[in-house]
Amino acid sequence: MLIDYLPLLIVFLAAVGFSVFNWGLSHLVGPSNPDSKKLEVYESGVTPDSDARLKFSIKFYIISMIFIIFDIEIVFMYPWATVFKDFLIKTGSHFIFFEMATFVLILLVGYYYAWKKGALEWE
Amino acid sequence: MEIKIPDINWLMASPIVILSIFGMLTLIFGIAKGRHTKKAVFVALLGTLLALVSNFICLFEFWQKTNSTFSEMLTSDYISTGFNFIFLTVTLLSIFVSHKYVQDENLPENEYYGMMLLSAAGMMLMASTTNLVVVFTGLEVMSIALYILAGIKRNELKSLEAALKYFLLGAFASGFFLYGISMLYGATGTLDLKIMAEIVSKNGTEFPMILMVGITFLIVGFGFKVALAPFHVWTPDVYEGASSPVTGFMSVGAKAAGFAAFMRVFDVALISIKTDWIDVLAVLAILTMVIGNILALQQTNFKRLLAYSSITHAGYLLLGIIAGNELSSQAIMFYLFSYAFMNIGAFAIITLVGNKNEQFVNVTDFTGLAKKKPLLAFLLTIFLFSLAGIPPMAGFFGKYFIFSALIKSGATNLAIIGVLNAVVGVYYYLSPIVLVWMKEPNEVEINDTNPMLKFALIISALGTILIGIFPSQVMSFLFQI
Amino acid sequence: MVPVSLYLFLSVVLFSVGVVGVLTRKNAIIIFMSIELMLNAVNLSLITFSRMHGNLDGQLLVFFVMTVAAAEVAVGLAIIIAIFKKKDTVNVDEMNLMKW
Repeated sequence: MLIDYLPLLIVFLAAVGFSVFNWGLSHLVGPSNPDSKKLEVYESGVTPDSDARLKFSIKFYIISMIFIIFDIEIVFMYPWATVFKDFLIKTGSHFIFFEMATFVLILLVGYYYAWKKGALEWE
Repeated sequence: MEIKIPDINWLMASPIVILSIFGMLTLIFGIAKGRHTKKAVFVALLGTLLALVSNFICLFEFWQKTNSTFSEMLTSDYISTGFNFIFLTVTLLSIFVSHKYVQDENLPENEYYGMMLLSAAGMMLMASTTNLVVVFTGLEVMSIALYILAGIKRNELKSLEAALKYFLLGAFASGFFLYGISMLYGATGTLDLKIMAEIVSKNGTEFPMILMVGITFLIVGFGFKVALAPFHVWTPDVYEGASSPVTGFMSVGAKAAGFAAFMRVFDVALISIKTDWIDVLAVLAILTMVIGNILALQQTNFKRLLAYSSITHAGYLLLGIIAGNELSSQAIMFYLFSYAFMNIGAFAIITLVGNKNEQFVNVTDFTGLAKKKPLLAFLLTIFLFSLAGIPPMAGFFGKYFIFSALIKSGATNLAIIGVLNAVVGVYYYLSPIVLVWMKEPNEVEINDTNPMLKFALIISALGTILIGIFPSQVMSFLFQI
Repeated sequence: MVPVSLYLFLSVVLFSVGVVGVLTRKNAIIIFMSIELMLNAVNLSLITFSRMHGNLDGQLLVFFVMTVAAAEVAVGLAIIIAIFKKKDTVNVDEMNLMKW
């Protein structure tokens, strides 16, 4: 039932309540005399020198695209890894190993392509 | 937990495996040396030919029986071998048509042919399975490769625009298609179409609403992929924007693959509740034929004209799905087989006349072609006659088989509507022919030093005529009846 | 246990939000994000049904959907970037080179 999720709701409310309470308290009792230095964006103590919405180099997109593609393949490897030992013991066959080897080989073809196209080079 | 090693029959999988391997090889061929390799086309050709040979072996080996391998994920029967034959023919012809075009436009050869082969592998995957997971995977392998092919001329805005439209609508349709699969799975508890057929026929009409909603979503998804009427709006734009050889390839290939899966889902898994979906499909079929015919009348661009013509053809093919008997599945395959030859032939001529950058793709650019290049004009006439369904050509028998299957299943009214549409359709195929033969030539110059494309043209023309002369022999060869 | 219908309801809502997003928004990237939302709504319904029927087929399909979605992201973003370089806009209303 939904009631099983009650602890989750309590934690959620506690987290929201805590932050809202502290923020409201400082807002109410704290003195307020802003100047230009105080209104500046807080960036871990470093003086901000440009707008937050800066343009990224297009290279980031290519790198992130490659990352997405190769990253997602893990979803096939994880279930494979969990049954790997069981499979070897119960069937005594190395089929499962060559299956993944084929898969990785196909990935390597893509990797080789990306590499030779210069997608991995920064300059 | 019991673990089994899946049974593997490599011969059954060989056409797909060979095509995928050669697709990847083509993609990385010569990439280490420099940007533009001119030899990748031969790797692609070799791969396609080898796959064709292995498909022939499959055709004789798995003669008239249904076999499955890879834990029931891959099936070999007359539908899969027949459709694989269609896809490989299309790929082979498209490679021949593309060869000079790719060189002239300075397109990256390895990527172009690599994507073409991988896309064909996806189509074959779609046709040779009875499992919805594999159908979906094949569909996406095909579609993603086609998105890239549509936008392969990345310096040209038109090509990119076609790719974007195709991509956005294709992905949107995939969402619907997938939700349909999910609901079918929810209603029956399986993704295997054969088991699904048993469960559906056992439970009769006692299914929850969710099955009906799922079927509706599947129809929307398939409708987008094969360009049925209310979901057809992307077709003309994509066909116009993409390069002519690519358009030829995807108009036949994607349509055939879509109908292969359509057939498996509706005429195998859901056949026992036929009465529940037949009306929807009938309305869609009529709408598709009528809209395709009407909008084709006012086209001035030859590629758009053929786009609307392909929409109409999707309507006729849908009539085959509605018939849903043994004869109709053979009729659909026969239709698509002949459509492959005539449509690729027509697009080959457009590629040839269009010349550099496809400057001459309007219908008026073909004016007086007969005085300049009589043979070319003759071939164009053959292809257009066949598309229109005029008797001695292959296209006529495709329509004939579909309509007779429909009458056999009892839907005579629909068959009459289909025939009427076919008659009306003749008009817009005839108007370019009149321009080609009866008018004085214009100043469009035709550069026909293109041996590979000519070879493809001859094969297509021979196919169109021979299938028309020996329809029953082709039928018995394709299906080993 | 939360009843199955609630998950399915959430999935339908997410899917509808995605469809409305695709149909009403003009920015190609946002349309694209809406499509991703649709796919994830389907994933949720697949997992629900898989749990309901007690077999793993649905969850298996989810893996494939995720992979395919990633591949679509790569190809789609590449197309959108290529268009942006040429045209300086990703507004789909301005993609009007071809009209009937």
